[in-house]
Amino acid sequence: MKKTLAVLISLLMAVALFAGGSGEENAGAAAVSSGNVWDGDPVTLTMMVFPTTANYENINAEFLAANPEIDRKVDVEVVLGGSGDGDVAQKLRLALAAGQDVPDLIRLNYTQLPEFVEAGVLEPIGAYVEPYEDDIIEAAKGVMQYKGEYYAFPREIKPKVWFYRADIFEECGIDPYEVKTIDDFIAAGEKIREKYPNACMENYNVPAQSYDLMMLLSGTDGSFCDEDGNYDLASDPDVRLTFERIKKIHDSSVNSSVIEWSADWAPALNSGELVSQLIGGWFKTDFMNFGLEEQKGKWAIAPWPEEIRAGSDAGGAIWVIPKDSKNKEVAAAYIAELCFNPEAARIIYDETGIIPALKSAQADPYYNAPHDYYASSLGPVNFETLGYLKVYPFTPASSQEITIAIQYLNEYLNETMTLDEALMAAQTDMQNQIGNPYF
Amino acid sequence: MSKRIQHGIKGQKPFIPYLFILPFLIFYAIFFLYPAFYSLVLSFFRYKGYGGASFIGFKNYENLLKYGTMWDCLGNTFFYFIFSFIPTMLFSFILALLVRSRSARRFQFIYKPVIFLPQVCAVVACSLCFKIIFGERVGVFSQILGKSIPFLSDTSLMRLVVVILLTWRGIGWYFIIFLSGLTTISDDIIEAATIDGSGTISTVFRITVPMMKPTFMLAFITNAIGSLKIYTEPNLLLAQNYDPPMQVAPYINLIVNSMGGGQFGMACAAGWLLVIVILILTILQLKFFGNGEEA
Repeated sequence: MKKTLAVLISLLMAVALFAGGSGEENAGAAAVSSGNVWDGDPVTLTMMVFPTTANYENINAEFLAANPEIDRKVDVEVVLGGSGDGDVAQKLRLALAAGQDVPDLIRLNYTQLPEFVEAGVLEPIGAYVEPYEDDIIEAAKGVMQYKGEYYAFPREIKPKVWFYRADIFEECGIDPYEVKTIDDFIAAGEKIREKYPNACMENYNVPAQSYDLMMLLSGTDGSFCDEDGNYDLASDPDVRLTFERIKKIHDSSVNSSVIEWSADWAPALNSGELVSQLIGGWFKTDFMNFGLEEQKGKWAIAPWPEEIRAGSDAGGAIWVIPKDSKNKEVAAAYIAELCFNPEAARIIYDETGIIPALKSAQADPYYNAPHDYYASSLGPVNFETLGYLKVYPFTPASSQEITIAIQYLNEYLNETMTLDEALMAAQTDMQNQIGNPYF
Repeated sequence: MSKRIQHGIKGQKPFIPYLFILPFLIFYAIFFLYPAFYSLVLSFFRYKGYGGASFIGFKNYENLLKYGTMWDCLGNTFFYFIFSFIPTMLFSFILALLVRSRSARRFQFIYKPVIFLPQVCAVVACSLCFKIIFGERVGVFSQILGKSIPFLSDTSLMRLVVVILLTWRGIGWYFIIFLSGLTTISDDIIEAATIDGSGTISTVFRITVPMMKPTFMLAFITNAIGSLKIYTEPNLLLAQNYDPPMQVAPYINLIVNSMGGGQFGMACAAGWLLVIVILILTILQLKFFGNGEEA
């Protein structure tokens, strides 16, 4: 009796293991309705975001107030997915496993797109992009696609942007556009130090930041694995070059010991110790959020030095629509309006500072006007840097790959491992822990 | 009499007591046993949390045991456990003895809440405060000493800061446990020992400590289990942007990273390895306390 019961329970467990996950395949793209998508009964769209709901609650409210036709049809409930993209990805996995409470719209980073596309759980959205395709800048199209098909709407494209103290650079006679290489970058810092002995150009330290690694790596042709998913970073010259470049800046005389996101960072930016930051375009909002009133009008932006200006930080932030969404068509139509409608783009710009990835916005004085906080207008440089945008070939296991790579970059920067040892150890760990990211 | 023991009081149904505990048993089976068994099954699969799963036998366990970082993280967890365990237990027991002493007993209403306060404070708030207190430049200690101390960037110092936070938070909790243990020792026994010529130290080691063996056992085992599952404090304190460096990360980060990478099978295997470690440690502690026979 006991044996029979044990066998029955085991069978039940095994059946339950597979019952939850198989999920039905949803063939084809969401068809664009032949009629007006805004007709019919009202629907509530759930929009999962991070790290706060406030921005998109305001944006949705303002957008819907300006568009009564859509307002009649759509009610948007903004839900918090966590503090970062990893939390949202985890929530999506759990929702997919449970087969319920799958949001209609989800904010992710491009880093996560390959996993969910490869798993076949995202809705292709080509039909919704088509009407706007001519107006979307090329850089954004790269972030919206995976293996040549559209799966994502662009929330924010993240080019590499160099933030610098315009007043100090000008005083020291440094033109950021003349800084072409990492050596020039260090030389510029040393020139500034003649007048400001404590000034530093960067703060590449331990613990290293994953976005620093990925911004530099994405500018090269390097990757952790080949197209078939075989990890080969120990022999990849561009991964090696990226590690060396980070070490070069880390070891230079113009590198500050301040750790990014620590309590020391904002004071260092305020005191003049940090006079520049090689970072992503998204930093413009974070920098203003530091509330450094003394710095108002002192900072400007430029593309990174030519040698390392190509690349991006995780490509960008995106919106995706799961196949299990109950309101795919309305969700796709709504987010398309929010991303590509010029009026919506202005609402988003006012709320978040995000400049739309639209060609029509490039000439729009609204985005090219002088900025209230920065010493220069953000628009022209933003559009220029989008021209250098290059997206790293992320895999379904990219978040784990980056965690492992950072671990050994720290060892290399700390000189507890040589470069060869660090790269080989990272490769071994990726093989051990991930195997092949595509299986 | 023996008949009554076998069949219960006349008219009483023997299954009635089981009926009363049935709701608990059902919930226990659904929310603990089933997930535990499910995760054990998953640990033999490659499974990303949704979609299909493929059976890979002991591969997840094999990969984990060969993964150097797993041992590093386990080492970090043991570091946090051992180096916070010793001062926590020592200080909380000494404080409990002091508060229980005749001279301080009447002011217990002041000492108890003050000592317990860190336990009431939200761990997030405490961690953020510690992050500022131990800031490399703006931190209190760096300011007092007039030089930068890399408390939150040097891996050996990073671990130390976590230990300080754990100890500071833990003392209040174990102080209350030890205090309640001390109240079970009758004043008459202490008085008798004093009349027999036993000094304070001798009374503590020969009377108090042996009589509090069950309390110590409870405190040590719960502390070990809690410490081996540590996650919140090091992650809040040591992460500057997202995760702390793996060089100082506790074991649970392995599980979280595996789940974040869509490797639920690996995460389950890591979880079960931790269960084995906790089990071994608990058995050792039970052996040390003589299986709690005197409890």
